[in-house]
Amino acid sequence: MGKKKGLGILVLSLILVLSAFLTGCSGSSSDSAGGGDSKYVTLRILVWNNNPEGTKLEGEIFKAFEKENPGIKVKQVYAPYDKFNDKFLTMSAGGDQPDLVWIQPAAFGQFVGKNVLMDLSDKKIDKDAYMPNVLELGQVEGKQFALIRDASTFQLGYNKDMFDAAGVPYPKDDWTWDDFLAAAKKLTKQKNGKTVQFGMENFYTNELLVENGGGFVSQDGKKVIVDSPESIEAIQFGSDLINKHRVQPTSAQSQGLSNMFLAGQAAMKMMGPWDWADTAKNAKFKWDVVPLPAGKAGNVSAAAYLPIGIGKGTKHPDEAFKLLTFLSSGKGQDMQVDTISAVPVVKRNADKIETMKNAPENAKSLAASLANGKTVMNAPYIPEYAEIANKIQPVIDNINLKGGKDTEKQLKKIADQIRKEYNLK
Amino acid sequence: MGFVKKKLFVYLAGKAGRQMNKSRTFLFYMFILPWLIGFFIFTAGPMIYSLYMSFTDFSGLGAANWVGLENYKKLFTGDPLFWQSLWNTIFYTIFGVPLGLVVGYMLAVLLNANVKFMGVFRTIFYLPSLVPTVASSLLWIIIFQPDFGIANAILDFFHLPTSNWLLSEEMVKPSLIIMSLWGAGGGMVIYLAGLQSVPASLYEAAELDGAGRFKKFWHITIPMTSNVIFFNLIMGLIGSFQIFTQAYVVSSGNGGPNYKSLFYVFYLYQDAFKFFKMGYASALAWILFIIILIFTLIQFKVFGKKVYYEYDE
Amino acid sequence: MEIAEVKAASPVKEKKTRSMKVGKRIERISTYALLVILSTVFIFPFLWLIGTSLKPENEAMTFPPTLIPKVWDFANYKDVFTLVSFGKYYLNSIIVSFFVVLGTVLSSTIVAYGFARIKGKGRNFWFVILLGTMMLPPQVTMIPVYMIFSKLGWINTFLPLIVPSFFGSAYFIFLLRQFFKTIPKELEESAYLDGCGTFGIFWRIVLPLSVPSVITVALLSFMWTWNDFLYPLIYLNDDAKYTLALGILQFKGALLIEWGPMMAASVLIILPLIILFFVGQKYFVQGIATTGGKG
Repeated sequence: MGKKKGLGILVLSLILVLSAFLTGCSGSSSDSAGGGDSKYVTLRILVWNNNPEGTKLEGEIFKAFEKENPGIKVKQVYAPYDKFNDKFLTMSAGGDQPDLVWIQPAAFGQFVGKNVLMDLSDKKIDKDAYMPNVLELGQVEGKQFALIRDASTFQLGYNKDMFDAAGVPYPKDDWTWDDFLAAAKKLTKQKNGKTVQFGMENFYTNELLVENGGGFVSQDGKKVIVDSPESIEAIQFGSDLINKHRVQPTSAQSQGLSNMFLAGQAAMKMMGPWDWADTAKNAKFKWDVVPLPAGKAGNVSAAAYLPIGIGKGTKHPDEAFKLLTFLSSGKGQDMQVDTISAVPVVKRNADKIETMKNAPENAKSLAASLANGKTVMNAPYIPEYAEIANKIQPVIDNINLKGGKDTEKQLKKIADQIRKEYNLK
Repeated sequence: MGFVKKKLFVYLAGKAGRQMNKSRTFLFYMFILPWLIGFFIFTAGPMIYSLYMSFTDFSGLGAANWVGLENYKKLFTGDPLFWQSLWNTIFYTIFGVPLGLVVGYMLAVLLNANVKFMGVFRTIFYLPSLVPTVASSLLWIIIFQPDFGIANAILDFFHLPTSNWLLSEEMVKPSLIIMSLWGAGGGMVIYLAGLQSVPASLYEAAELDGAGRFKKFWHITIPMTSNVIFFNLIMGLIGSFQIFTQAYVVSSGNGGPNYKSLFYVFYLYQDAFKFFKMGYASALAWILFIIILIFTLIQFKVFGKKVYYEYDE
Repeated sequence: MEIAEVKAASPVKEKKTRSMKVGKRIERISTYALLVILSTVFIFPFLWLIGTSLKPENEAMTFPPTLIPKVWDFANYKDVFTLVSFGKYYLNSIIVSFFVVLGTVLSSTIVAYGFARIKGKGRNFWFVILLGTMMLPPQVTMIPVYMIFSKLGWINTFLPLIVPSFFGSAYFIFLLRQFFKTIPKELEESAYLDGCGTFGIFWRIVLPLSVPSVITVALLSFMWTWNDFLYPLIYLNDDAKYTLALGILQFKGALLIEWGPMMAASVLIILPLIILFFVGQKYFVQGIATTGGKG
């Protein structure tokens, strides 16, 4: 009897399980991944975005490619920036790797080390088309694993009205840290003991290191250099801006304020071309840009760039490379300036930077910096780099927070710890 | 489906037997069959897979090489962040779970009163659980802003010492606990369902015996809802050990200041998807599994017996 | 506060003095006062969310932050509908959430009944396993689970989001077990005498008595599914298949977050949840009549 009853419940359970599959099926629609349509080759490219407009406009470039290559369709697969690796890792592990993938520079070393990207060294690449220092950004130990679609850099944006009001002359393209500090001091205003206007919003430590010829780890990834004299000086300078000269807000003062520059509370800010549209739209004052001030290494700044690679598992390597070429040196490069305001990497379009949408007056200084190779790659492609950077950053935050009285000692300490832990020089 | 069930019911409704023991076991497995099947298809495999990966150098990409106990050795002997994140998590759990339990329960009791517009009030109290974390975290950053935030303004008003809250090594965890209390309405829903099933007759009988309000609360309400209190305790514990999202958002993904908000699963996530150390992350996960299991079994031993069930064999 | 809920039904109460009534009134007033004060704390974030969603971009991040926008601007709402396929996301979210709730309620109630009231051999063992499945951080099982769905060919469909719920959710099985265990044994026994089988008891006696808890399960599972973005992100590739929570992440760019549209979208996303909750919570009250009457 009990058995019979049990049998009934078994039947019910099975119905339940079965209905799961049935209802599930009715909930889904159309094709599954891969796109095995015989007429077309479908390429999937995994991207993040800057905003939804960007994603749509990106599509126009792909449409142009499809028009040029009737047999190929392109499909964007999107993942937000901070969940990008989650998506790529699961896709890859599931044997469902995208044909092309945008790459976060911090993850590039890992992707290459784990053999998920196709080696492009033997492919036909028009090396002369690119601006200086661009191709190298996609290379690991001399081999080409990615091509760069846009490469740009941070500059300093400044509020002209504030400079005028304080009687400070506008900065020149070849200015130095001393010039910067002098201007920042004059642009900082206090009222009732509270700072109501800061000279600078937030000078990224990363950029200070580059300007002074320092860094966390040397470019070949073999040496810890965060305690080199240049690095110590740069980090100390950054801390002094906050704690000694008080021209830049402490983290407590700036917390929760995402854009003090736009709000008219800071005279200068780090600004890349990706900020132009937003600034042009929302700034209620006159503004312009200028290269970052020079430390010991001159008016240089860190390269900000987008490498795109081809997944090793792709079934359509030739078509994928065709698309990659289109994006990185082909017609895509001619389109991207106007459609998505992305800075081109090919020489022939260098002059287009000045006339980009929302470009400020001195945009030509950005074009000059890029054309003259004033950008520096400062994240070595070693697998451990993200982890190392993650360990050094809190130490720098702490120096900035506590006033930086023992900067050298703290940096030496963390540097030695990293050397020991990761077997570096 | 309805038709089938009806037929089935008729079929099963025959003369029920008292000779249960053996067939009871069979019946039990039939009832839990859907879950059992799901467990074997979707859960057991991946769990074993991750256990295996914890003995490898798997990066999440490419091949995995067997490294034996290497990950576990590193974790216990060569990784200060393991201990830091474990301590952060235990601190958060020890203070956050009991507080959340009490606050959620009090809210539910309050919202169980029979007054007008209660539906509106209940909905309002539940709102914080609905606001997406990214949005609510941004609000909390503004509330805790040392210079112009409301938190310091209130302290200032009472001439109390102010704090840097989320930017302070000492206060970042208490700040996160405060944030979590504000979402106590989540647990409230479950308490409410529990409170509603306390038979009104019990209160009436107690009133006849002249029991005061406190006595009724202590001797009727709490014991009669111990089933849900216990549930929220266990799930609060399991959830608290895996706290991650809020800390991730308010610290912009770095667990600062100085790793003081780097919670265990936060660190595990970094290892898995930022540093590409999936094998190591798996080892972290299994250590956490054991810790939570021990904590949970202790709760079952200590409190499980005190829970009131009508039917418990 | 419990006093309030016991209606003056018994004759004994009528004899009680007037002072009781005054006391009750004071209590009622203080309950309201407390509710109103606390409400301001709990409603604040939602008002702020609405406020921010109505601010033009340059006002959203000003100092000091304003709760009520200086300029009312519905542009953010327009952006939500024009920049992403919001309507389509809505439909997808409804489909996914509906089936997940259906699956969760159907399967979890049955399984929970087994765990709560049928003492079979190995019950404690499987119960510990059930709890154990919630103790391993999902981050490390994400890849192997994906591999299973990939083998099944379910990637870029709703199946990985829906099907597992038909096999029960550990959280809700545990919750319902807690509720089922409080139902008096006598009810079951009398049902046996009336000729009910185990399934009959479950279907005829236990489920009707558990309306509040089943509603709770349905509400919670709906809301969690509605707000979850991680699983949709992992399993869906086509914009046309996105759910709401995933779709609005597009406003969170690599370099900056578009707070205005993000907040506007958040308001639109949680609005149906608020309505659903408001409607659903009424059934908590209905539950009293059922359980209270028979208990």
